[in-house]
Amino acid sequence: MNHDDEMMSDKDLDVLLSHASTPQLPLGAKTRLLAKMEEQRASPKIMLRSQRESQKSRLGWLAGLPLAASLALGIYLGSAGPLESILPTAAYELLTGVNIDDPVTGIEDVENLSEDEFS
Amino acid sequence: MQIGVRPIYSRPAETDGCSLPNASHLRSVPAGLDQAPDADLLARTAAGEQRAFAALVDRHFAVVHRVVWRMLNGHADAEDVAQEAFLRLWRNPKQVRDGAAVKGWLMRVATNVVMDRHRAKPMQQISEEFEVVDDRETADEQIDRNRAVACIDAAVAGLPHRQKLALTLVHYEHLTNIAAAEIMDLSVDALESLLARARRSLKERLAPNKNSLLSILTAERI
Repeated sequence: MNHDDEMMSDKDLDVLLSHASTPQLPLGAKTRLLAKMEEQRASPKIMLRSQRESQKSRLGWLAGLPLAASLALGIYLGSAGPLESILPTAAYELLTGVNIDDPVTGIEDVENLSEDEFS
Repeated sequence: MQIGVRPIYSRPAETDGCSLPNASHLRSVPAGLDQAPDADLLARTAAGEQRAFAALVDRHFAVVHRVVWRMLNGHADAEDVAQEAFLRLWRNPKQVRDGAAVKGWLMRVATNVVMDRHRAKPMQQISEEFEVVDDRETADEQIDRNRAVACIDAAVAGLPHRQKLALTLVHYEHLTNIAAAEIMDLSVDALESLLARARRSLKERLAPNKNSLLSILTAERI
């Protein structure tokens, strides 16, 4: 016999559980439910649902406008030439991390290389 | 000494004095509909037939209300929660894929509403404190019986939600383990584990008063 049965047998537990309270259905509960069903059937909530759907479709279009504008701007900028010719200098340096007044390096390193260094 | 358990609150029976639209023409289920299978009634509800929905209400409202009542420990919101499950069915009957399983669907929706409400506002648990009944007492038998019942109700109410639901579906509503597992969206093994834990917990709570409770409720001296 396991520990549970030592406390109480399954049979005794079932006897006790069978005496637990049994709910009584409140009088008129079904009628109240059916009345609410009637109310929902006749209520304007159905119209609001269609209104919500039309609003949703309009909002969808509105959300697409900034994206379309962004794409058009990108195409224009790309076709207009190098970016630094359009942007102010400070903005260009901020975006690229390059100071246009800095001397260009690297070319003299290439020029210093001679054929003797490659063996 | 007396058992000092507060009784579970339940909504008293009310007169039918609602101020909502009159649904008296739906109260009686026409002959034929009361014999129609659930799948047929659901299909007709989906077609907008109110009487078919009324037949589903007549058939299943009581059992859904019972399950919710136990989950809410007898709270007065049980009717509102049961109503909500049926109204969700009315608003969109096509969401029930298997018409024959509409009863299980209603129970699942109702218990989900209970869980949602409990997360939003935890229900006050019934006091679990009780004392051993003195067998030598000659107190009024009805009072003793009510207190003994309240003791058992408190033990069940103190179970965790999922254990309580498993116990309610299998022990009180006599569903098979498979049907109960489907409602709870569990495997049968998981359901049986919940049931075993629930029964063990109840035995632990009720064992100290076992003899007194059994003697009062079965009117036998042990």
